[in-house]
Amino acid sequence: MFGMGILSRKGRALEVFGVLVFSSLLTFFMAGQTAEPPWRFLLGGIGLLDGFLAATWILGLPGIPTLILARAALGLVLGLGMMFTLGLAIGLGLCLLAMALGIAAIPRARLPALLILPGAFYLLVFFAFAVGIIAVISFLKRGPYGGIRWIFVLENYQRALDPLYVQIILISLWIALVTTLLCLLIGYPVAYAMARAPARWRNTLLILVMIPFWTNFLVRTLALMFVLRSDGPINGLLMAAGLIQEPVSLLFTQNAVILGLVYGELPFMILPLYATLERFDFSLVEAAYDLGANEWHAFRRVIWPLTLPGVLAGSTLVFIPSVGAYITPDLLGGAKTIMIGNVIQYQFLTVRHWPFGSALSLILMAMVLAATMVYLRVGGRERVL
Amino acid sequence: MVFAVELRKVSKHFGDVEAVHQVSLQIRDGEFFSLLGPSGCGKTTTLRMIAGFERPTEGEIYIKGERMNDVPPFHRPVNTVFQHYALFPHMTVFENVAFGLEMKRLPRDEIRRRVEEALRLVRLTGLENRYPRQLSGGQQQRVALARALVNRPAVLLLDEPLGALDLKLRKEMQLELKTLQHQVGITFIYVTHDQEEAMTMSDRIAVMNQGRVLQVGTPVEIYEHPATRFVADFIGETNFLEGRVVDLERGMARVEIEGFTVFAAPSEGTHRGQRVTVAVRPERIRLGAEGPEDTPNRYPGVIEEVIYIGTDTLFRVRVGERLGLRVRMQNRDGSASIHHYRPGAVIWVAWLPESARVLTE
Repeated sequence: MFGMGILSRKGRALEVFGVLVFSSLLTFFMAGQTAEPPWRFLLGGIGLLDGFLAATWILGLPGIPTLILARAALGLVLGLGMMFTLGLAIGLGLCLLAMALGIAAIPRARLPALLILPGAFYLLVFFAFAVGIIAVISFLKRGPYGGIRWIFVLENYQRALDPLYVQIILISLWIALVTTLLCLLIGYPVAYAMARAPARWRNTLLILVMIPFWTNFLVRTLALMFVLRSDGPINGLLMAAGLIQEPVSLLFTQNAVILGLVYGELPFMILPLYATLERFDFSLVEAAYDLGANEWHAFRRVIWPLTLPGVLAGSTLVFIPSVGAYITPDLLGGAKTIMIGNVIQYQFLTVRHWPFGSALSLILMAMVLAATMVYLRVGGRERVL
Repeated sequence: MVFAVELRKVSKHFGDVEAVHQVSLQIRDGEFFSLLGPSGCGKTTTLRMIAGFERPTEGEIYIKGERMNDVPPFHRPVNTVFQHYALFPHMTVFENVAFGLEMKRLPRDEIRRRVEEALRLVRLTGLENRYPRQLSGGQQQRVALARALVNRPAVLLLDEPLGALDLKLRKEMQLELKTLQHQVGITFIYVTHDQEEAMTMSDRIAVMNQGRVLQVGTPVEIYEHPATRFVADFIGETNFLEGRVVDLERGMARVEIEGFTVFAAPSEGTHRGQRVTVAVRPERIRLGAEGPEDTPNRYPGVIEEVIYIGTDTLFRVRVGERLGLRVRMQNRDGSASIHHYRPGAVIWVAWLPESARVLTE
């Protein structure tokens, strides 16, 4: 049935044929450029297969469309593999050919559902698989020189329950929470003002919000270190104004970490809030005023509940990276403010205790997941469209 | 006399644009008052100034005798039915209608009682727990109405409330609104660009164009005695005949138009020698095989076009070399009467002097 669907679309038959012929020729060409025999034969084989498929496609044999889709899927996987073995050009070429073939051969009505595949593939490989590895490692023993020994233990999790680490986890959650609230407090009015600005200004304002992204995050954080230093401009100004006699220590404090996180994460709060507020129908506010609501009631009863999706999205986007942050607390918190991200980094890269680092990572993940779910559940109780 | 709403020389500028120019209006208690005009004429801005969403640049606004210029919308004794309803999408019908009463901090059972009463008034009982998106356009319209009326405002402001409805529903709602207004006895100020709608419902109409009020009057006054050419043109159809006043005798003006003499009712300030426009409504022109005796305004002509539209038939008749007239005739005797009037037929057109009006502007 699937196959007949494709065959019955006469207009697309030529399209598929064209892609197959093109793919066959290009793969042969690539095979000719490749020196190593096994790869050469593989590419040549694909070229032959495409030629064969093109011929049978024209003959209209049953089952061929399904075969073509299988060929497209195979091409995608092979292409990804060849990116690492034969170089980016050939690998990417194969991937693109496979995608073109897939797009040509798949019935148009099913296409949107299949567009999710590349993303799903990426997440599967680089997230699910990676987390799986970490989950396994977290139950193993550390090898004598780093690395792992295949012995199942729970000691990594037991060790994570040490008050020392529990406290660091709690502090991390606390810092992330304060960061999120501050971002919301600062970001909501900004997003609101942007959404209410004249339409011709909005893009400019949006670009202004994104300007920090143009500079490397590390550089920005280092710059912040200079600003907060004892002989930095803030202390200089305060002393010149006579407000303080001695420089106050701003750097290497928990507040410095929060400051840095708020600074770094603020755009991630503003952007989803702006997207929500920009779509918000402000005639509803007029309706609220008209019905006797003052500014506060109009905000509380109409604007806030209807922009809550943006608040939830922004808060999630800020909270999750904040809990696991490690560059910011490393540079701005010094030795005094250590977040869980620093501990994990330390375990993996310095102590080379992968199993313990993995256990901490998983605990962090679980806590973030739990916090986010509670948050969304509570937030979701406010009726949102 | 204390007016429900009074505007004194109100103007509104948006940057360099003058949206409303020196508008003065006196709207009586319990009146159904329409602001009528083409889009961009300033009618909605005027309404928004009464509601408090816009501040007048100049002039003063009074509601029930109190100056309102510095009163925010949430302290004004008016409620608005918005063009696109502006119902709160996250609230049910009940919560939408209750919103205004909650803001007044009324006791819970009174709120319930009054919301139910308002929903009964607009015949929406039983839909309390629906969300606006689950309602049809007409139902949403009624919710908007109930949400405003439940507060018992001194004045209800309606901004093209029927604009989004289809024609049949519109006609129904027009009559329903009129009945509703009688029931609740609240002053309605109704903004529309639809002259038929304004005529159907209003006690009085203010015709606006380019930020100015051109004429205020009852539907009959505005239709029968339009003050300007714009009003005559905007309200209904009109034949405009350009000419010069040659004489004023016995309360009638004698106007020379393309070599013909036309008698017409003069307006204020009409004087001899003046260049004027004579306005004649198409339905006031009669067609006949012979010129009637009862009017001096009778002229031979040739039928150029016949358009049958069911209730009426429209004709285009040429009189002399350069006069084209639109004529509207009711199909009283079915299709029999129009058989005499075919394109090319030579006939007489005639109208009474009092059916023609001299416009000096």
